[in-house]
Amino acid sequence: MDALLLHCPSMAKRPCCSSPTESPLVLNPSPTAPKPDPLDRLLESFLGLSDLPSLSLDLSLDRLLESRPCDSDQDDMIDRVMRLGSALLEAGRRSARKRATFHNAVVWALPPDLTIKVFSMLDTQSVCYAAATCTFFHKCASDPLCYANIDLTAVVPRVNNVVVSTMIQRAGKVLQSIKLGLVPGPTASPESSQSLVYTIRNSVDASGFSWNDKRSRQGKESSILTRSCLSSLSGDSDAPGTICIIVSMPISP
Amino acid sequence: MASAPENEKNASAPEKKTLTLKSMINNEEFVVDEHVALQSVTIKNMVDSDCAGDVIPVPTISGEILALVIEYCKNHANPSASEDDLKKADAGIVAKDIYTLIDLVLAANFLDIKGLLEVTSQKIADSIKDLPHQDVREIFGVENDYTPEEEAAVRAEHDWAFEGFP
Repeated sequence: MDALLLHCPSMAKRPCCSSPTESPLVLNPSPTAPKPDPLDRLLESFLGLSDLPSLSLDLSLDRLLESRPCDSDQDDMIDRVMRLGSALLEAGRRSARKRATFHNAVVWALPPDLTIKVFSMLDTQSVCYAAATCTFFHKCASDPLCYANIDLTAVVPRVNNVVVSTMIQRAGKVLQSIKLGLVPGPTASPESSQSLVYTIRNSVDASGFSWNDKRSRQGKESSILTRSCLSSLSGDSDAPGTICIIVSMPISP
Repeated sequence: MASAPENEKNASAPEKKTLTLKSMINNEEFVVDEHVALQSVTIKNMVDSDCAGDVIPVPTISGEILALVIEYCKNHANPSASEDDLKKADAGIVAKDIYTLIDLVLAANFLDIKGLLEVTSQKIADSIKDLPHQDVREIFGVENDYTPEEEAAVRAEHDWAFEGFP
């Protein structure tokens, strides 16, 4: 029976492209490819020029310019050189990006749902780093599930109300918990931090959540968070279940 | 972890059934006790619906990965294994390079083994925790395919997270 043969993404061992020079990902043009466009052939021979020392290109361009009698013709020629140069540069970059995207799809074989699962296990800052890695990760890191358990605790306070409410909005209805506040750095002893756990049964109760009292106990390191960072919770009147909010703060010795 | 003790052959226990899993990538075969294999919901569904033959072909999972999956299932099918033992055994199974981990996630997802999917996904997540995007690229072997403008926009979106990073 081969019921297992259905719908399974390829799990074949991927070539490990550690070195960008040995490129197993080059797509060989198929031998049955249609006749090349004349422009392709022109471009290909033109690309041979890149092997020439740049001095020969300089000299050649100079000769061509001298052969143009009038000033405006010369200006026009220089303009064309510039335009062609940047058009080629752009085309080269675009192709490099396309190949990078293709490379990523081979190396990172997880489909979006499994990638989102991995990201949902990260704290929120790490999700943001992952999003900046490549376009596929950015797409996956936009999924609400990546923010179901918002963890914005950090050694240094850099999170403000806007960040918290943005993340709450991203999570939307799948929001389960929020962790905020400061965690002790590697030098501090574990006892110097205390966690306060708030449980909000629904948005109405969120208004009873007293942040400011606790905040004043954080002393000098008081973060820039206020209760209003949770205001976006109120919009979610149909948020099901319970949202757990944990606030960590260092306790003065 | 050890195979079931011989003394289980008492009258009440029916003859122990085994299943053979065969990797279709390299044709490697694994004979496993049925209760071990049934930790895979995919295999369980096949067995329950009577469409599992003597040999169950497993496509696109290599023998190397299948061996790890079976090791996991054996560990977790052992009723005398303590929570601690299992944790240690799991840590051993996921102590692998990123490509093996990705294959394990795919295999766990395909065979529908929830616990294995959790520990392998968690291991991948742990490997990039707190690391900036340049490090993530290196660890996962992925390349930057952003335009400079797009990359700047993504960083601006989360400027607080990138404070202090080049």
